[in-house]
Amino acid sequence: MKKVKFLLIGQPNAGKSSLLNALIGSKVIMSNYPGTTVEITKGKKKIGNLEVEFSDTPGIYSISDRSEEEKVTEMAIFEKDIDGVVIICDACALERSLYMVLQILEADIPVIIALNFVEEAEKKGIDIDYKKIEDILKVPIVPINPLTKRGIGKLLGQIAKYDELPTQSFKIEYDDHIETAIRKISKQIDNPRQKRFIALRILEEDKDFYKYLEDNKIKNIDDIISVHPKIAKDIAVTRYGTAAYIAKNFTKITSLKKEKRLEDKIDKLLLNSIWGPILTFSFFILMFGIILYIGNLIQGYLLGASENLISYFSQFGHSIIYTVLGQGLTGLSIGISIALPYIFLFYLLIGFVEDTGLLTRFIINTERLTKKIGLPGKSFIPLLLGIGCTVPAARATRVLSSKKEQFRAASFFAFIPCSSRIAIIMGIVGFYGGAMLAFYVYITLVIFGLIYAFGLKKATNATPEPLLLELPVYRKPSIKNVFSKSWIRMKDFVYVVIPLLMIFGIIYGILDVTNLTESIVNPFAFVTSWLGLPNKTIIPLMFGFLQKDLTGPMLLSSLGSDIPSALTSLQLYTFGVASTLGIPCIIALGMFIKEFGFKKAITITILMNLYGIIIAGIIWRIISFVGNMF
Amino acid sequence: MKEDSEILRIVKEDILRILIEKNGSVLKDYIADEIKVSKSFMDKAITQLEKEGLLEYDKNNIKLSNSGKFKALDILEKHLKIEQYFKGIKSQKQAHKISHIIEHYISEEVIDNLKKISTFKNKGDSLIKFKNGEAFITNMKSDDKLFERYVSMGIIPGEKIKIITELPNGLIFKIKGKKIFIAREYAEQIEVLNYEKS
Repeated sequence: MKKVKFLLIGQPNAGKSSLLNALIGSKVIMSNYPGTTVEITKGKKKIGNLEVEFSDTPGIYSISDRSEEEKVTEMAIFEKDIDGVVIICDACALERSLYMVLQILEADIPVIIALNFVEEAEKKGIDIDYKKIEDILKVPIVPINPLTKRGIGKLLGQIAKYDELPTQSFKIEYDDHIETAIRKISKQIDNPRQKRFIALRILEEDKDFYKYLEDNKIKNIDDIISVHPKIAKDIAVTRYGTAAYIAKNFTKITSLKKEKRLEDKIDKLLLNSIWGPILTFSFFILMFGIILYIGNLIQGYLLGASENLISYFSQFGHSIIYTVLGQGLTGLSIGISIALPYIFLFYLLIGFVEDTGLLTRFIINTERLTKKIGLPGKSFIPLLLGIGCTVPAARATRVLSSKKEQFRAASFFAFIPCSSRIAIIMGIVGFYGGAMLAFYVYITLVIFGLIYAFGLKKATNATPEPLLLELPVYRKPSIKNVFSKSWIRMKDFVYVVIPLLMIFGIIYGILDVTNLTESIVNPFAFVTSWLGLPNKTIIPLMFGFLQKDLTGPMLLSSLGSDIPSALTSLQLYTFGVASTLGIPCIIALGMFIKEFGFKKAITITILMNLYGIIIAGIIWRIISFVGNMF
Repeated sequence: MKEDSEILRIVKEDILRILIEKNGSVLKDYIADEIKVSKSFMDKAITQLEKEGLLEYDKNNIKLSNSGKFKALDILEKHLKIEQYFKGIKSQKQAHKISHIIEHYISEEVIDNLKKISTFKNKGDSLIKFKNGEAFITNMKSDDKLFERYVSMGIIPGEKIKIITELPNGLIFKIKGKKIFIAREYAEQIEVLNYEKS
């Protein structure tokens, strides 16, 4: 069987993810809100005796290197060994879509255009003569509708004939000065293929492409640029002019009915300077209400089921092996019954919000807040995802344009409790100490998070990148799409975290059986005494860093199930703060290392967790001091 | 002063091109007829070209200087090239017209808009000061990469935009039927001209 590779490229909201859905069936891949798909996701499809691997790229407006998404796509086009590209164009925004098409054609790659939203465009009175555009661009164009599967067969047919795709397609001819500059730079390029594309990228000052030059720099740059100082801008406008020309001349716009649509009414309210933030805030309150309520129901059911399982298991005996395995099983059942319902529900709702187009509006409203603490508006998405699980959220910081901003945003996960930390606050502090006590822990996280935020903003004098984004049209989300997206987001949790829960449970079982716990507890007595906690609480704190969901069960195993008599309310609160403020667990640390490097990741983890422990200790001292005075 | 304005650049280039097409010397009225911009605006373009040493101006007669000839030839050559490039798909006359547009890189409608703007007294203001209604973009200050981002989103000088809402952190406007949010910092750098006041 022959294998070929195709890239899917499109602007945000061009319908890329639904096309992929239609192309490869059930194995869906994420869509992109200005969002978390920064990695390339893949899916395979058999056409006859051809196996096509589709790689989904993040939605971008053009091949530039402003953001991580663009870099990812640019590199995918250029460096991966691909057989062709499918560009998804939005028929309602042809001009803009063509801009990217023209840019990709410069790279000498076989291209097929999938023209989406044709029916929607027709409703707006836009009639595109795509046959003519096909002739000019010398590239096949297939009108599609992923929802009704229109054109999907034809598109697959084109892909099957990939070796017949024209390689010599339309190229923009720039003005003389630019063409001369391209020629001069091409001579300096040490790469046999795609010289023109590389030269243009270099002229547009894309530093990633300087490596194709000798000594990584342009020779006689003054000589090249002096005749045409605004060269990068003129390249962009020439492309746009050509795109606009083609779009305008082969599009007929007949009726332009001016109807006040529902969408505008919703936007008027949602993007009102007063109502917008209120509605956004209320929406998230409602969302958490739903998650807590339904999550609680599912959790109760699952916990009951797993308890039955464990008691069934323990009837086989109480030997050492069964105790050890029993601990492992407890870890597993906690993972499934506590974290799973909340995380999955959370991602489900978020997926729904992003697919309707609401999320972009929320970003605009929350940017007013994030800006105040020195974070760009886009950081709202990773921060929000952090409420689910810090691990995928840390990866989602890639939406931000620089590593610096990504790291800055990621450091805030110390104050954003993930679902496992929420489980500690609600399930331990709230359960044994009352709702108010849980609330105090939250407030502490918020206050010290804000202190950190303003301190950091002052110290680094950061100005976040201003927001510039398109508001997508409201669309009815596809349930299938939302479900599969949620699954992809929590795959990490299922495959990595749950096995770890089991392993750490077993390790604890071994420690418990062999009486090794004492030797671990004693060297850390200074930490617990600083926190005013019993020495044994170091076990849940330490295991908590291995896996946050172990904190609760470990606390119960080390202090016994009568928590209220083992810990005072103040101690419960201190324990709550010390175990939730910081980079939560070793898995999150691993993701930090992957994203930001070993040194930065270790430093931020130590600093943040120290910050949490110091604060918890100070608060404990202050409150006991004040309490003793009266 | 908006020396760098897109309109002025286009008008200046057009004057040079007309001059070279007419063998380097032409009456001012002829130019005014050809490019259809306001008189004061054309005067400004001519004064600037004169200052740059590209043309000589005597009463009603305009003449290309030597360095002006050089530059104008360049523009004409570019123009002819584009014309040729589209000849295959359009009639001769249309190709000529198209090349006028693409040599300034923008669409026909946009060029018309830009020229119309030049007849207005008001010379435009930053987008942020413009609260509601329709306007033309006249100038965009940005670095190259942001400029490309703008252009790829369809935000380009001469294009008509409609402000929808003003928020404390930015503006929402409609361009080519799409809604876009732009932060204050960026909006301040974009200059627009009122559409209705004309």
